[in-house]
Amino acid sequence: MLFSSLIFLFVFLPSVLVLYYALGKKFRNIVLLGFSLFFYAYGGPKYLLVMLFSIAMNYVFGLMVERFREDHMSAKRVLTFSGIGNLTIIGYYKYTDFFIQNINTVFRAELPYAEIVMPIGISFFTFQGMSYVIDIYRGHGKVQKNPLNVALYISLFPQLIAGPIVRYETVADQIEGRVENFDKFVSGISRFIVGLSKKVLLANSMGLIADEVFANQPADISVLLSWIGAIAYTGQIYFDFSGYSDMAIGLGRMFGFEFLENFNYPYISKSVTEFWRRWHISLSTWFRDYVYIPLGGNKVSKVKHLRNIFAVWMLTGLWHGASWNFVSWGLYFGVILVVEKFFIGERIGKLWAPLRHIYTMTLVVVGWIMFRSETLGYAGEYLAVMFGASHQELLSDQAMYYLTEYRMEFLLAIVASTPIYRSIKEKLSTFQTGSWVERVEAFASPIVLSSMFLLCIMNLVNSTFNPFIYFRF
Amino acid sequence: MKKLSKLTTLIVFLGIIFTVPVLTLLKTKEDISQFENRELAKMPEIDKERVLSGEYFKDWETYMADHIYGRNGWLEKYTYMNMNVLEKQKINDIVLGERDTTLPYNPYIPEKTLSQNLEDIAEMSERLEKLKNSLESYGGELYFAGIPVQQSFYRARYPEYFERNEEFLDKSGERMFSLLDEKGISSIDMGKVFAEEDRDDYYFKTDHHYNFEGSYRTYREIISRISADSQAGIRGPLEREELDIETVPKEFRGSRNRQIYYMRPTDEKLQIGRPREEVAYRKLTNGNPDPEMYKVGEQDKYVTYDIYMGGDMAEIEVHTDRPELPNLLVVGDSFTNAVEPLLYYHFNETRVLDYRYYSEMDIYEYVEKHRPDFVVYVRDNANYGNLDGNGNFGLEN
Repeated sequence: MLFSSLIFLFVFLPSVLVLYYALGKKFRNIVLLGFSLFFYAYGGPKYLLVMLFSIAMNYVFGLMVERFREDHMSAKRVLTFSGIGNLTIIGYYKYTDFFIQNINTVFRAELPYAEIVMPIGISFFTFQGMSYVIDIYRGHGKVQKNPLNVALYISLFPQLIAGPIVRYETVADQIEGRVENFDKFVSGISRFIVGLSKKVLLANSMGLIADEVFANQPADISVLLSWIGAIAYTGQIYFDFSGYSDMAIGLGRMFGFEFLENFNYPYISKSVTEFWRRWHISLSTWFRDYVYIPLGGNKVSKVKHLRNIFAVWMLTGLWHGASWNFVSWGLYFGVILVVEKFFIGERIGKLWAPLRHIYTMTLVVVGWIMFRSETLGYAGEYLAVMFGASHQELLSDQAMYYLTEYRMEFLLAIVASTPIYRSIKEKLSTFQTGSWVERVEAFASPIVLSSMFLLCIMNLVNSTFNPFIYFRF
Repeated sequence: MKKLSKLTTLIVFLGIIFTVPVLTLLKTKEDISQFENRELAKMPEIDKERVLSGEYFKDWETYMADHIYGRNGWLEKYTYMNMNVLEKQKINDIVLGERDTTLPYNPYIPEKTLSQNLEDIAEMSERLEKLKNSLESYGGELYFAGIPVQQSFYRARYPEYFERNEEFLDKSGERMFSLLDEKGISSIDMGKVFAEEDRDDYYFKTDHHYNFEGSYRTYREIISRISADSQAGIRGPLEREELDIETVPKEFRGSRNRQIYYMRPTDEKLQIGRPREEVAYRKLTNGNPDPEMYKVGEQDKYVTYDIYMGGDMAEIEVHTDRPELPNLLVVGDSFTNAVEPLLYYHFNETRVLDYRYYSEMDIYEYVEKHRPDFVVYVRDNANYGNLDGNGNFGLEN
């Protein structure tokens, strides 16, 4: 189920809210779990079994890790088995055909494809399951004796399908001891509306443009159109994913949860290293804490340090999708980060700020082309058009059409990717209580939020174009 | 103050998410969306397979979107916002062209490529040749009348940068008529006729059809050609002074304007023409008596193109009981509707089939049964390569 769907807004959400708050504290987790399982089953109930199996497996591994806590070797063995178990599930559903494809290519074989349909959100719930067992092993959270609590942690609907990847240590205490209150609830509403608006008003418009541009062969597009497509996709993926994270965080607050932030205005970054500190923070920190640091991080020889960096970035790419495009995309960033870290980082830091910004965004946009393209060949040809290496015409009617028809959306997207709104809010909060500025803000805030919400509903009633990019992962 | 502000946010948000579903549940469900000209989703029926595949819940999404409380209001406001606030020139797949003309949006990557269309046109010309041979076996004649679609006629009115489909339409037209020539099929190219006359008022600005002027010119061309080519002995077309041309005073609502909730102001009016010297006739629609050619009275507050013959019908017969005159069969879609009230005047019996709706007999069976002296096949230039509906003549694939 999509957060940005009428069924979610007008059937699922009111139902879960009513039951959650009407049935009393004792039943709140049960209500949330029941609705979370329904939320997942909505897209195809047969895959619910996969998630339930993953939950049961991690519940048992969690208990076993706790049981062998004093016996370090046994606990480590259980941890290894849990890792193998989780990776087998994700490997089977996500990577079997990729594996067969590569076997066929390398050995010129003709093994038939398994054509396995990937359960939605598998990359997210698998990583949360792994996080549960690892955090118990590390003593970063207490083991859950009640399997329903493990099920709730892994399947909690606000973050189930597209993150943020909530680590167990973050919410371990909240599962049983969270506090719901008026302020938190209203702040959840505001955050949810902001996320919904990012998704419905910006990501969907940008997505329409990107899809139409990328439906062309690179040989058929002008240089300007290639840039418009690239920028539109850059906007789509940010507003789509950060909008989803905002909605997840907002919904979490409505039920008393506090999830960590997943985005921090990544497009204002002045280096690629900074970009990755601001983009999909929950995934970057997951890999940092569960892969990079256990491998030794930077506290090892230079060669091993490089190995650790590339291992993390290859896995980051592979996590996003079973194709060489994604692997190349991950390694592309691995290379840039290594170059920034060991060679040009300091020199870039001394450049004029706008130049650093252009440098970063150019590399990020190039990365998104690799990410969006069906094949590496397509990405190469597309990039050749963007950078004038293919003798395409500079302008075209189609390019001018998007520029004129979607000028407001582009403008809004640019403004919304910067922290202007946050800065204004921070500035306003410095005014004294009772001042006219505070009164104006208090008056305007519900009007702005309600208008945004109504605009979203208006767009949802009208439009059938409403994809979520990260549902693929 | 802050608390009041938060309370307002809470009340508005909860008010909306709780009120809309209740009102949706209580509201009378409609079957058809007049504005979108389509059937609305029916309540999903539970089915094990569809539940397991997730399709059942998707059906609920569609149902909710189609029946949400105040749907038309939401859609209207969306259109208004896009038109007046975002100042878009393309809304709901309608392009706001110059001189208050509303045109369809042509995607930059067409659903059908020109080369595919040219192949289908070749197939269509073979189907027409086969029909022509079949008619000639008993002395009948086939005419092909090609009508430009509104966006083709008003192509110059597209705003800058919008795709006009010129190459697709022009090359398709060239191929269609050259193949018809090769196969010896009589053809009437109304695109050429209109272009030669240098008039720009043959079509509605807010509807996808021609207006009375365009349909009258088409009628004249068809009758002139048949009477000039054949020995049928039919009189030439009715001159303007032989007609009572009436402007229907009601508001005209065009199909393209409907898609944007009639937000494009227009002073267009619909006209009808009746022969001054009447000829008695019996008219049947789908086998039932239906005397009116123009359904003026049925549309109270406003009129649409459906005024002509009551809209698209599967089969229409007009009998004038003048056996000395030939019989005519017209095959085509809505472009035939506006010419039918004048065509019948020249024939003993006029039959009209629309194979999008008619399924009792294929064209060969129908022709065998009724032996028309002339068959006029009417096709618009966007559909020369469309092998379905009227392009299939009711034959099973």
